[in-house]
This record gives sequence, structure tokens and C-alpha cells, in this order.
Amino acid sequence: MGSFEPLAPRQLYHPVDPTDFQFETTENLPDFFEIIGQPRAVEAVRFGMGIEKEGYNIFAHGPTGTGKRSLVRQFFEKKASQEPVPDDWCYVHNFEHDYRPNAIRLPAGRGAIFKRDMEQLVEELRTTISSAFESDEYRARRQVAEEEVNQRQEKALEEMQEQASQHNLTLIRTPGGLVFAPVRDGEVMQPEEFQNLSQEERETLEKTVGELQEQLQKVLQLVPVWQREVRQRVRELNREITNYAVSGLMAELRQKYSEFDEITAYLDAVQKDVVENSSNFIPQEEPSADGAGGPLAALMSRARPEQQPTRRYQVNLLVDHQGKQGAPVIYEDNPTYQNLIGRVEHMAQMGALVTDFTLIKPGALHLANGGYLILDVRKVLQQPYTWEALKRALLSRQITIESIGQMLSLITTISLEPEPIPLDIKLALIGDRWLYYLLSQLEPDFHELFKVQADFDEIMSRTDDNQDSYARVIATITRQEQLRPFDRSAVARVIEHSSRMVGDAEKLSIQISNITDLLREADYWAGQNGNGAVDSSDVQKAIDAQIYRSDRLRERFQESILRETVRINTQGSAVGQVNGLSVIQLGDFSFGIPSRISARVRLGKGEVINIEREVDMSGPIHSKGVLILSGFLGARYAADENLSLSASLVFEQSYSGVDGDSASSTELYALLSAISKIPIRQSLAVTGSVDQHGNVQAIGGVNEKIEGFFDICKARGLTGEQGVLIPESNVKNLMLRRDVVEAVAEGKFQVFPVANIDQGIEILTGIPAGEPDEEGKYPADTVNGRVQERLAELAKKREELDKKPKDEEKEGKQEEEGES
Amino acid sequence: MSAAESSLDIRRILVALDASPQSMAALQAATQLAARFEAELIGVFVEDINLIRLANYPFTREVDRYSSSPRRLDSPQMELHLRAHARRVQQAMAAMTKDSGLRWSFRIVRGVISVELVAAALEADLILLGKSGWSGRKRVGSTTRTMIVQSPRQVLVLQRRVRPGMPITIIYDGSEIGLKVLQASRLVWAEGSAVSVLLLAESPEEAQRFQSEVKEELGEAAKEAQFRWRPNLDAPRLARLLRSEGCGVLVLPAESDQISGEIVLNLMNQIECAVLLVR
Repeated sequence: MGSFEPLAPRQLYHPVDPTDFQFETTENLPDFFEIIGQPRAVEAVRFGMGIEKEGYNIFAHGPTGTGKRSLVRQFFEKKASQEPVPDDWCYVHNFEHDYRPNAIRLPAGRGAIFKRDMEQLVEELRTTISSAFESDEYRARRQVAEEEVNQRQEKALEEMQEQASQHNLTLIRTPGGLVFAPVRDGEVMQPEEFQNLSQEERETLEKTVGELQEQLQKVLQLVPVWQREVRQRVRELNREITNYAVSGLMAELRQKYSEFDEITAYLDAVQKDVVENSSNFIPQEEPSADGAGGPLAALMSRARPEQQPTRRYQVNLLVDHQGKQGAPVIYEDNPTYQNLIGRVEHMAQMGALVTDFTLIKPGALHLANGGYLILDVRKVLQQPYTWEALKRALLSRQITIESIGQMLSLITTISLEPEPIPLDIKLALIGDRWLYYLLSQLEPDFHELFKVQADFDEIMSRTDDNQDSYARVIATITRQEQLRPFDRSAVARVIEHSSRMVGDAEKLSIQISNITDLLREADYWAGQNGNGAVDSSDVQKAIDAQIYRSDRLRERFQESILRETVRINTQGSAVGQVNGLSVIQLGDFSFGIPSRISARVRLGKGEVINIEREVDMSGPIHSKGVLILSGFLGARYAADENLSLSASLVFEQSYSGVDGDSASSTELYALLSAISKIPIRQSLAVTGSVDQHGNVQAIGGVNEKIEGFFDICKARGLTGEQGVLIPESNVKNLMLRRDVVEAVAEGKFQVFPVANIDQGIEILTGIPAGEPDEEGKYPADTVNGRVQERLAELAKKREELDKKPKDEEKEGKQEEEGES
Repeated sequence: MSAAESSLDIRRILVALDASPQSMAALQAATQLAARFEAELIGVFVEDINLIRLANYPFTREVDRYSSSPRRLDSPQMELHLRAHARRVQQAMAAMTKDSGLRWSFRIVRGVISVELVAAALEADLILLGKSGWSGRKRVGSTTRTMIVQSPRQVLVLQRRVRPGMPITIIYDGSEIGLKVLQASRLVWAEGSAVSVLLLAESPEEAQRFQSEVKEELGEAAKEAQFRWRPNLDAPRLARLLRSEGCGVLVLPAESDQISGEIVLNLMNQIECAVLLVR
């Protein structure tokens, strides 16, 4: 062992001292209303909310569970409650263009009144108009008009009859028409009698009949003309009567809504339409239910709500803010195209789909208009056409309801083009960071529309103040979730675990959803254990149970090592072989496992062969780490001569890819051991990346890696020799498991912080690394010295070989070095 | 059937049918009356001999009422027409009487309509017929005119469908037939019918007397009746009155000292309500 001291137990775990807390349980803590650890996001949302300029919509991005939605919602709701209630919106029939309903804006609450007023108007029109038409004056006037045509007709026919009788003829009415026939004594003459008449008489009769028929035809042709005249007169009469009956009612409404130009114009149109279609208000005789008119008649019946002609005087109250307080804050959970933009529904009528303005349904944009809308960007992007529609609405600042089919010109059934409604909205999109960056890169309009980004962090510093706040957050969650109170030891354990979750003793996780899960589960275990309040053992149980639920694969890995299917030595020593450590990530659970890294060297031209890379199983970062090694070797030991070795490095028994540079120091140790032929202690495992100068640099997952090696050693029996070398700069990340810390305290396990390669090799070999003299020569009995010496040897051999003739070189024995 | 109703002694009701809407209204009213008085219903369809005859003339043309175009007539076609009408009428009659359990019969006769109807009327106690047949006019048609004058029995003339509870107007002149008029008014009276009585009297005192006679005879039905006094029957004036007050059925003598057939016809030409002529 060198002079390097392993870390003390207190450096392996940064506990929270429960006695530092001023409370007994979370019951004593006040709620925490602020947002913990997100000053940047809070500032951004506040700014985005406050600035009332176009395009200042908010994009809140960050990892899930950082409280993006609740923060945005909370802020929006607070601001919205101070703001005025936005206007109501109605759609009404457009009497000029049926398919283009008009939008009418009314102050909040007036929409419902207007709707009621119109319903009442129709009711009143029904009684007023039908009683006007039932009045005696109307009937008398109408009868006079209708009577006239009858009288004219009858008079004409009587004249015909008269003429006929002068010629011994009569006008007979048959079921189908009128016929002239010769008569005698009031009866039609028998044909025999007719034959008995003289030729002259017969001819005269025949001729007269012909003439009279022609006259009759002329008279009958006039009848339709007379009837048309009568209809025209009746229509004018109807109009006059209706206008008289309606104008009083309408004037009242017009007075009530005189301040709204749109409504007065609408009422004018309604009045005109009512006068034109007064018959709509007169009760019609319905085909009886016993099927007198057949099922078809029942289908077409005006009694059916969708067939009622007065339907067009209804008001479709699209957005109703009656009785609301403040501006709306809407979160649309399912932002489909139609849920966002609104839709025009259809109804089946005798097999065809028809629609009208009453079937226009609002979307989230309508409901949130004048207020705030929150959408999940991932859902928006998943729904076809929703993003485009949202963009179009924001850019044009109006909501245009169009069906997707219409947009794509797929359907040609009768549809509506409702008048667009102006849009005034503050939108917040919520989503992952990568979506934000992807959109900002690929979507040209993105920065026009979302000028404010609220970047949510997932970690915060672990200061005393923050720990206190954290405790209050925990208290707040326990109350919101109706959990048992947590005592201070439990709170301390939760905070510790929060540190461990982010793999940093100086930081805390603010992915509150994960913490909330832990709290819920701890509460469950407390319930199982019959504890009134949750204590640290419940929290620990929850953590252990979480791990147990997800560590099947870890168990398999460890098992295969313990059964020596995978060979990992935890004692003895070996040349050119070092235990490396890697981390495997499975969803949100990760664990470390040791792997054997070996190196072989021989005479060569200075290349370090990364076997993983040769078979394309090495990620770029790993390859980079290996290339750094040759840089280090050459510069340090063979600055003035050729680096005449060929080395190969491999992760033994690795059947999947390797990436990351955290094994580069391990590989270097294996290489140095192989070159110097000095054996390395197998009871140690190593992690850390290395630079070209031999400095050991920080890596990720340090806790998992130490625990991974510890678990194997512990299963085989701790010897006291075993331990792990970690980069010095990773010490602050240590939040090790309790059993590891305890083993270290008992002297059964060690964790060495290492700043550079020399320190590491000294610990691994037990031989000093050695300092170079002024000429760059290392002392012979040091590791560095042995390495230098060996490299010099190889260089010399190389030179000799190069001098030999070429054919000899071919046969020349290739020297191979290295021991196992 | 109440005692008063049975005293009317209606056993057979004849209805003249020609398939026009008016005759269908008559059929409906006849069915209702037959059911009420448990009377036998006799439907008569007269194939107008005049129509058949005139179809034999080579030069006659039927001028269509709507298109005003002339059409050649021939007898087979005319026969076919008439038969089709007769069948329709018979079917309608069968349908109307289907569930009532009425005794009914239907027959087709050929001849001059009015002559045949007058003859057929002899076997019935009440005759129902449409006002103007196929012409659909407001004026009384020729057949009806004949029936008004010549029918041996009481005649109910209809222009449109009647429904129970229509207002009833009765003309009473204190004569012998007047009493019959009052009795016959029970034929058309139903619960809820508003009754108004026109008293043809020479003096107010006579009118007063008439009024008490009516009240006595009608009893319950005249309880809320409205009485008017007129010295004579002025057809245009009465027509105006009936039009303005609304009248369902007018009951009056077919002929009496004060009411000539001429006046009745004149009156009927001017009004639209059903008319029950009492003999």
C-alpha cells in the first residue's frame, strides 16, 4: 500500500442531521406555496404572462415531474382571477348566406340573456302571428280576395251555360272536366233522338258545341292568371298583417340591444325573414301518429326539432361566461384538431348528413379566448393537423372553424363556414426540452409565436435553507396527498435520497413527481407497519422496495459473476488486467457492475488497438478515450524516440457495445501493467477518465459503480483489501448505500480518491510511480521507470529489426510480450 | 241513445255518393249518425246516365278543368271511370264502417241522378248528400237542388266535414213543421254545441211565445241557447249573420208558410255550413 489514504466514512455519505430540523413531524410545518428551485422558470413565466404583446407565448420545457404544468397553471390562475371576464360569443343565422353563420360578441352573461330573448321572441311571434291570422279582419280580407276569383270563374261559367242553353245545349260537369252536350227536357239527348234531328240541325249543334268548347278553353286558361293575382294579393296581405304584428315585439328587443350594432342589424334581418315566412309561425295540421301520412311523413314532420322552420331564429351560445369570475384558464387534455379549433357537427336527416349554425361547437381556443390556454406540446404534435391549426390561429389572431375534411377538400357535403372569431389568448405549451429545441430548429414560425421559454431545472443546490424549504415541500405534499405526517428522520432520509437520485451530495432533485412517489410509497409501508407517522425506516423500506422491484437484471449480472461465468477477480494480482466499472441504465433504475479490462503489448509501431472498436462495439467517446492513451504514453515515456509497441485493449466478456470514457484510466493502468510487467491488485476496481497529461477526471454514476463492486466483494466475503479507485473530483458526488459506508467504517472496504495516474498506479501495484529527473528519466525501481525502460528496450529492438534486410525481417521472430 | 233521440225514429240513412270530397264528408257524417241511432246505412252510387249518353256523341269533348285542354270522350272509358269511382266509394264505406258493427249496404244504380235519388229516398228516413258534387262550387248543384225541392224525407246537405259540437242554428216559425225542426235538431246536436235560435214571429209577443215553446221542446239543449227575433226570413241578411257568427249546421224547414224553396236555395248558395232540411 502506498501513502494514499482511503476516504473516511463521513466522506462517503453526506447525511442530513434530523436534529438540525426545528420540527418534530411535517404536521408542524407550514405549506410551501412557492415553486422550489425554479427561479429561472418562475421569472420567465412571470415575464411571459405580464407582457401583453403578440407572440409572447410561453414554452415551458424541462424534465417530467418538475412541476411545469402546475406552476404555469398556478400563475395563470392567479393572474386570471384579477382580470375581467371576457365577452360571450354567439353564432346566429346569416339570412343572406345560409352557410356563413355570423358571430356576435356580447359582454359576459349577456349571451345567455340574448339567447333567451330570442327564444321568447319566437314563442311570442308564434302566438302573435297566429292570432293575427286568426283575427276576423284578416279572415274577412282574405276571403274577399279569394272569393273574387271564384266569383269570376263561376260568373264566366254561368255565362257559358247561358249561351249553351240558347242553343239547346248544356254545360255538364264530369269528374274530370266540363262537357257541352245537347239537351232535351233537362236531360242529355238520347243519341237516337239526335240522329232523328235533321242534318242541318245536327250540323248546327255540332258547330256550336265546337265554338263553345273553344270559348270555354279560353275562359279556363284565364283561371290560373286570376288565381295568381289572388295569391299575390294574399301574400301582400300576409306581409302587411305580419309586419304589423311583429314590429311591436321587435322594437322592444331592438331598444334593449340598441348599443350593439351587430344585433340591431341581425334583428332587422330577422324581422324581414319573419315577415317573408309568416306561415312558419302558424300551427300546421300534423300527420296523425297512427300513420295516416306514413312513416315518411313522420320523418319530414315539422314537429321534429331539427325540421322546425323557426330553428334559424335560435342563438347558438358558443361561449357562455355567465356567472364566471375572472378570465378563463383552460387546460385541454386532448388537443385534437376539433377539440382545439371547434367543430361543426352534422345530424342525419333521411339518410343525408346536414348541419346548421346551431351545431357549431366550441373548441378550447374559444373557451380560453380572452384568457389563458395550456397545452401539452407532445399531445399537440401527436394529433394530426393540430399544430398547423394552432399556428394558423395564433398567427392570424382569429379562430376559423373548418373541418379537417373541408381543409383537405375531402368531403363535399353541405358544410358551414362560420365567421371567424378574433383570438386574444396567452398560450403556454408544456413539454420536453428536446421538443423545444427541435421545434426551434425546424419550425420557422416558432420564435414568432413562442418568444418566452421557461426552462425548468431538475436539480437545485443542497444548502441548509433549501433543505428547510424541501422539508416544507414534503409537508405540503403529504397534506395534498393526504399522507401520514413524516417525522424529521423520515424527512432527512427523503432529502438524502433526493441527493442520491441526482448522484450528487451537494444537489437535490426537484423532480417533485419522483419525490411524491417516494412519499406515497413510504406512507404505504408506514401503514403496513402500523406506524402513525412515517419514519426513516419506512422511507428506507420504500427505497429498498423500489430497487427490489427493478433489480432483476442486476441480480442476474451479479449471479453470473459469482458463479464465475463472468470472470471477475476480487483478490490476488495479475499483469495487464484491471477491474473496470460500468453502469447499466434500465429505465429510471441504474446499477454498476465490474468488468475485466485487459491489455497485451508487443513490438509494434506505436498503435494502441481498441478491440471493441475493431468490431464496431465501441462508442465514439470510448474510442476517443483509448486514443488519448497513446497520446499520453508517447509523450510521457518516449518523447524523444519511436513508440515501438503495439498494444491491444479489450473489455473481456463484453457482448454488447461499450461507450463512455470512464474506463480510460482503467485501460491505462492495464496498459502500464502490461508494459512494465508489474502485477495489479485484483481486489480493487477502478473508474475515471484520463487526459493526455495523466490527470484523472470525473465520471458519472460513481455511487452505482462503487456499490456494484462492493456487492460482488461482499458476496464473496470482504477481505479488507478490497476497494474502489474513483476520481478525486467525484468525491462530492458520493451518497453511498449504508452497508457500504458501514463496511468502510469497519475497515472492510476502501474508496480511494485519485487525482492522477501516478497515484492510481501506486495504489494498484504497491510500487511508487516515480518522479522524472531533469532529463525526464524515471528511477528504475518505480513503475514509471520500468515502463520507460521496457519501451526503450522495444525501441531498440525495433531499430535493430529495421536495419536487417527485408527478407530476414519477414522470417524474423515477432516478439510478443505480456503475461497473464 | 236517449229517449228523445229514439223518438226521432231514424232507422235507415241514405247517403248519396259520387266520390267527390263533399260526398265523402257526407259519408263520414252518415256513418257517425248511423252509429248513434243504430240505423242501417245505405250508400247509393248513381251512374249518371247523362254522362254515358254524352260520351256517345262523336263531337263532344271534355275540357279539362285544370289544363283546359279538350279530351275525346267515349263510352267504354266513361264506364270505366264510373266503375272506378264506385269501387272507391265502396272501399271507403267498407273502411269507415269496419269497426262499428253497422249494418250497411251499397248499390249502384244507373239513371238521372236526381230521379234515382228521389226514388231511393223513399226507403230511408234521412238523406245525406254533398252540396255541389264534382264542381266543388259554393252554389248548390243541380242534383242537390232537385233533392231540396223534391226529396220526400229530411235532407242533410254538407259542404265540408262536420264534427260533433259544431254550433247549431235553428230557424223556428211556430208552424207544425217548426216542431219537427226542433225535434230534428237533436240529430245534429251534441254535448257542447252552441245553439242559437232564430224566431220568425210577427210580433214580440209571438216571439216570446215561440221562445218558450222552443225551450220546452229542446229542454237541456236550449238551456244556454241564444234567441233572436225576425219578422221574416231575409236570405242575404241571415247569410251575413251566419258567416260572422260562425255556423256549423243550420236546421230549418224545407218548406213552410214563410219559407219557400226559393229562399232556402238562395240562402244555401250564400253560406258554407251544413244544412238540415226538415219535412
